Amino acid sequence: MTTNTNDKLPIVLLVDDSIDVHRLLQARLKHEQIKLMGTTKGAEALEIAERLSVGCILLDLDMPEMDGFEVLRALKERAATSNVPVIVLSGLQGSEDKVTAFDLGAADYVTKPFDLSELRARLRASLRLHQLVNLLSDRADVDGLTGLGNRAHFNKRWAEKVAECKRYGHALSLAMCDVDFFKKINDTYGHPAGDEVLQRVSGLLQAECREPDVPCRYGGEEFALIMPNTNAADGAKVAERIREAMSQVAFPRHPEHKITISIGVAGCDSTCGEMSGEKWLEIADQNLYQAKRSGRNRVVASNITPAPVMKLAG
Amino acid sequence: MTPRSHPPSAQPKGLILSEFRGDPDMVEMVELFVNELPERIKAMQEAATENNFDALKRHAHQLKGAGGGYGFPMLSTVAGALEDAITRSGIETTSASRSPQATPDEQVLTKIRQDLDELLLLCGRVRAA
Repeated sequence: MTTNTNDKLPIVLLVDDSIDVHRLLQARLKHEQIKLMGTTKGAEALEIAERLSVGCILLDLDMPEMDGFEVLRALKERAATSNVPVIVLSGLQGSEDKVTAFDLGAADYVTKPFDLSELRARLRASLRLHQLVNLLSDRADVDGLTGLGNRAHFNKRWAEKVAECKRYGHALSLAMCDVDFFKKINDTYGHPAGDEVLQRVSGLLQAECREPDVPCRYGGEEFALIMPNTNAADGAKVAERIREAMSQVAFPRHPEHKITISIGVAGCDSTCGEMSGEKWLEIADQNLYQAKRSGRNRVVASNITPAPVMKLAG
Repeated sequence: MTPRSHPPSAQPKGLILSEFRGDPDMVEMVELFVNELPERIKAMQEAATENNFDALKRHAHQLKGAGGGYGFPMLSTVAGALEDAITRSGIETTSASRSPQATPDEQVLTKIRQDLDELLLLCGRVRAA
């Protein structure tokens, strides 16, 4: 999702089946620094949001055909639209609906008939936050959701560390971690719950790794941990600490559901010879695959230079 | 069910003006709304005559949503009351709990008719400026 540059007005998409609401907000938001677009249909809203870079969506709940909750769910499921803040507008008064809206990933909730200055203020706040997150992501190679380095950051740092290892003969290890059954978590509890899991994992990684280590979000539910000056055996120990800590985490609203991770580690003592960074990563990935295949919730580690494979059971 | 009709000029003293009548941003919108009101009134009267409570409820719901936004909060309240009356009566065809009835209950009809009359009366008193 690209950021809007500073000189382009953010697009605000209003989704409401009432023509009156569209008219009203056109009039009331006339002086805001935004471009207001509107649709009366949820399906069309999804189509627009995927096509254009939208800054914020104002979403009515009570619509015929596709209702607001359905639209919200769909928005959060798609990569192109999942980061767009959604402010839910609703005449439905119960706090149950508010809870559902927030659980589905809404950024804010305004009841109808709305106080227009309040709506304006909340809209501005959401836009501001969205712009800051994008700015931070773009500038710092930071993954917006977890605060860890993103893939681009990982690639840079990994290349650096491999080069150092070759040059100075330092030990170096790489751990590839993957949340077990992640798709199932998303499907069962929704994407905001999945996001929360990812945030917990990244928190754990940061807590359990050491100062020189570099934790990154490598992909959807995959994390990479670069461990300089660490051989495979020690790298496996760090990985085991992380795995263990994760298996101890309880999610208050779903205490029956344990989240586990599988980890593949590949490391060297001092000379990695002709090994390339890519091949090294492949080995770590293969070990991760092994961990999954042999039952998940475990660490599989190996030296990249020929040596027996060590397996630590979970 | 036939609603009584109220000539618009019946109560000149009771004219209701929009709360936003001084607001330059809103003037056009309010005029538009007020000019469209007769259409909405007609649609509601027709729905009532045909005993089409689904349609009547939809109109009431829309008016409830719109009224306050254009500076006529009383319209929202009264339209809301009509919508609630229809919902509580369980009379709509789309209501899950509805059992097929040849003729709707008289008491229920009376309540709805009263609420509708009140709403139509209110609509008749609304002015843009």
